[in-house]
Amino acid sequence: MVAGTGALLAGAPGTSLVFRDMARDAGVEVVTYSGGPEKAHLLDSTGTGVVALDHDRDGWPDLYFVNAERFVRSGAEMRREAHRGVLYRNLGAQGGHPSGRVAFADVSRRAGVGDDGYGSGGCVGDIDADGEVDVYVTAFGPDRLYRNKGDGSFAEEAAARGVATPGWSIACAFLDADGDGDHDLFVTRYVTATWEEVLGARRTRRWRGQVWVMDGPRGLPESRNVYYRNDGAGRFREATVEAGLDAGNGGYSMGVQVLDFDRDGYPDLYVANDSTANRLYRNRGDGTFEEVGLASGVALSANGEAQGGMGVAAGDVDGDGWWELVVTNFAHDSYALYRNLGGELFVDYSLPSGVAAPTFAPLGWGVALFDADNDADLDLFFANGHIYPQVDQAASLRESYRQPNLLLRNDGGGRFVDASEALEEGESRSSRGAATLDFDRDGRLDLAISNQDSRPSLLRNETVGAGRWLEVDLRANGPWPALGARVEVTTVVPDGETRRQSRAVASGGSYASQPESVLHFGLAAASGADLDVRWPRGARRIVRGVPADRVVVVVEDR
Amino acid sequence: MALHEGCGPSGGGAVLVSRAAAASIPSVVLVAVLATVTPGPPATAAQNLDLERRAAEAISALERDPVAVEPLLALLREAPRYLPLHRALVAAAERQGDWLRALRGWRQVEELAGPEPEDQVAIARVALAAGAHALARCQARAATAARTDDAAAWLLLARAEAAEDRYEAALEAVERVLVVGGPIPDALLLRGELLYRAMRIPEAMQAFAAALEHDSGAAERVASFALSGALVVAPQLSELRGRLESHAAAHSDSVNTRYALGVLAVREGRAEDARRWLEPLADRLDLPPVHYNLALAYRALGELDAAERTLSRFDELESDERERWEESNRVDRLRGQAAAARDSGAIQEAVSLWEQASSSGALTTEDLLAWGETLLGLGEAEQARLVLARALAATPADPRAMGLAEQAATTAGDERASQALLARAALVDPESWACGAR
Repeated sequence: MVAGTGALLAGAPGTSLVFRDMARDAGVEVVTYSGGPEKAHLLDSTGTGVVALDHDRDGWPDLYFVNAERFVRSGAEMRREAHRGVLYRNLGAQGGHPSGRVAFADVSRRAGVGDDGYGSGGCVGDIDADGEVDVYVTAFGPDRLYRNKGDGSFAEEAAARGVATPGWSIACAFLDADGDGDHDLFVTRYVTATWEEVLGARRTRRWRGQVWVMDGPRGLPESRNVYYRNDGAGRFREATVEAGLDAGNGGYSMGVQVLDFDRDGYPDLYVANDSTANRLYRNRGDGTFEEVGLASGVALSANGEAQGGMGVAAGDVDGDGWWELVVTNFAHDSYALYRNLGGELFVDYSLPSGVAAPTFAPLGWGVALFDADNDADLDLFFANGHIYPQVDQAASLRESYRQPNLLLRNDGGGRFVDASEALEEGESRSSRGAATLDFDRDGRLDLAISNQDSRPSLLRNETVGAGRWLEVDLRANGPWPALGARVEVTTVVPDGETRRQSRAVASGGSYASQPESVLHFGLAAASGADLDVRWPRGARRIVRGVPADRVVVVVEDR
Repeated sequence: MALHEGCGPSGGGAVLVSRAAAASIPSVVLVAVLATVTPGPPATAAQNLDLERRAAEAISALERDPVAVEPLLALLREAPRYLPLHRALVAAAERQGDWLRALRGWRQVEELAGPEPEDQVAIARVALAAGAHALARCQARAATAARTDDAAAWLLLARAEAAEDRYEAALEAVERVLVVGGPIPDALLLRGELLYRAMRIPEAMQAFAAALEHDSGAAERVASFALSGALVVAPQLSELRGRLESHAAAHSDSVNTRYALGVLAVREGRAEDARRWLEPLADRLDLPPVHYNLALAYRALGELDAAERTLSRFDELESDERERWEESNRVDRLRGQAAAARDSGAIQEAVSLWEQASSSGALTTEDLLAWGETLLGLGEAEQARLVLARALAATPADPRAMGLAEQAATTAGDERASQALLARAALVDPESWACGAR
């Protein structure tokens, strides 16, 4: 079944990218805290992520902003102040847009998701295959699992279901690693620390010889990532070692991305590590993994050095059908674009792709590969922000704690040019998580960004002259979202050129964040497209001649 | 030709002599100069000729052996204002890398000869080497003001501004170098470096590319990230690559170039070329990045065993590197904890942490100064002197180091050391030179 629901939007030649921050207008004003203002410990500065999800299945993507705590000095003591995460319901279904104002409403209390722990990030899956999207929230302290009850509310069941991961978790991703039809869970973890260490931390490292800043992560004890296998009924058992995910485990892990880099039909895992080699776990097809990061060329920079990996995104940047990896890194070290040479080997293509130069100075977190102008290629968004507020004290450093985010536009061949002037954010903030979603369903992908100790940014895509588009909502026989489902879209533009693009439904990604699971395709001038859908368990569905400029729902045959 | 006036201590008649002429020691002028500077009764022509001969011998001996200063010093006692002797002493000090002694020599020269732009360029160079950045800037500025088309002076001014983190001023100076001196490779490289330090990365890459266009040998002086960047933005990459390949082929020690060519080949999917550059390099340069890129080349060629072997070597080296890093990180942490303890008033704890850090590894000048200052505050003047002496050894012209060391010497009652440090401080103070005179 294919159902068209979207509004028609004509593409026009001469595109002008515009992203306007309308968080305040839309009522998205929660301040997401992360420790104290001085940032004396790493926990003060790793920030929080943002989750885009349609929690009530009304077709409009909602937003969950993970929150941490605020540390307030009280004499010699540091006091912890709890701040809850906030679930914003998109009111689009109530007639808010696309015709007019975008509006969100805080429904956290009613939904029962106002976690008051020290949150880090989040991701979505469907743990019990009931067709309702569940949310996993990582934290410093036990992680949370919010099971969607199907009535717009959630029940916290992490401990009961065996996934109340202790310690310091950063990012997560659900995936059907063993092909048994249910959603397993992978959680990255960072540093081992106690509250005493966090609250009593002193700044003992000199940054570029100028200012005293927090210590770490190198030299601090690492924490190990965890993999949980789903028993099919939504209960989990840790299976990190038996799945082979103990290889190269640890190393201050941050972002995680699920992708099928070798196109063998099995979901692989890429883990961005801070200051140590990144890891690529290739799925052998039987639910076990082998670590191939170093041998595949995605562990280090071209100079053979570990970078300060934070966030990660995957997608076909150059249109050859093979998915590249993009990793955000620490300041004074470019972000990485690893070009996929055919499923076995990658090369660090940061410099030739144009990614290296504009990303050398900033410190990156969230990242999105998305088609910002619907011209049928993937552009790049980077959420930036330093971890050391002290850099503002030394002008000679030429750095700032609050940093402008970056938008890089793909020229169609995998080379990027800086188009950040399109980001109308007003003042810069110290950004962390970022997720793409089309919150006004106008066919232009928008951005939600969590900012440290500040309100979020909600960048509405108001690009003038954007190309035509399709959004594909996949409903598989099994859990929803249909994690692992892949769509290849073929378009024929008026001049006769055939173009193929692929996307897949994935959990997690970016930095501790979750993009919307409806797949978005820019079609440039094409009036329609053919869809080749591969469902998670291998079935295939081809849909020809889908008209452009609409959301299509594709349901797997029973 | 600029002339200056010299005047003998005995009140003899004024003699006009060019500085350049004095340096080349034409005997007719030399006689006149010696006649005016030799104390006591008027020298005879024979005496002057004898002095001239002995001066030439002493200078020649000093050129052969920069330590052989004694004959020259003896001559200076006879003719204390004889410029060539002073210049010879300066040259000897410079050859020995004794920058403070060289500066003292230059001070004598300036007193005798007055401020000459050419000398100011030389003084700026020495001051930069000594770490007396303010003095270097002062001298270079004066030289550029006097000779606006002197590329060497502008280049020194750029370096001096850069040493004080004044990148925009440094860039302005380097642009002047390029205007008056043309595409000098050193200036092009410095421009790239300055743009890089000013976080203007795309422009930095362009500048490095321009430097390579003019001199492929410059690749040996560029950091690998910058070199890779330059190779990306180079407008005529294939031509440049050809030149770099020729350069690498002609210079077996051009490791930077060979490595860059290897990495470029990996990135461009030319695995055979990558192997050609990196395989021989791996034998000579047992470094992780070389092995890593070579392993990627082997993988691309399908030589999986070789790739695995090479990655194993990479792992071994990385593991060693990690151990070294862990140790240095431990010392860094101690240093940081010491500074934090001092800032929070835990002085004894701070001193103890500095001692621990010092026994484990090298401390920076910054640490040594903080430690020394803390000891001074505790009244531990002798210990402070030891610590500050280490700071002075590392950065002999650092005004803070000299100030604290002088304070420690005074507290310890060492008047002589105190005076010497004050003199040293005055030596690197721009205001005590003609360039900074108010």
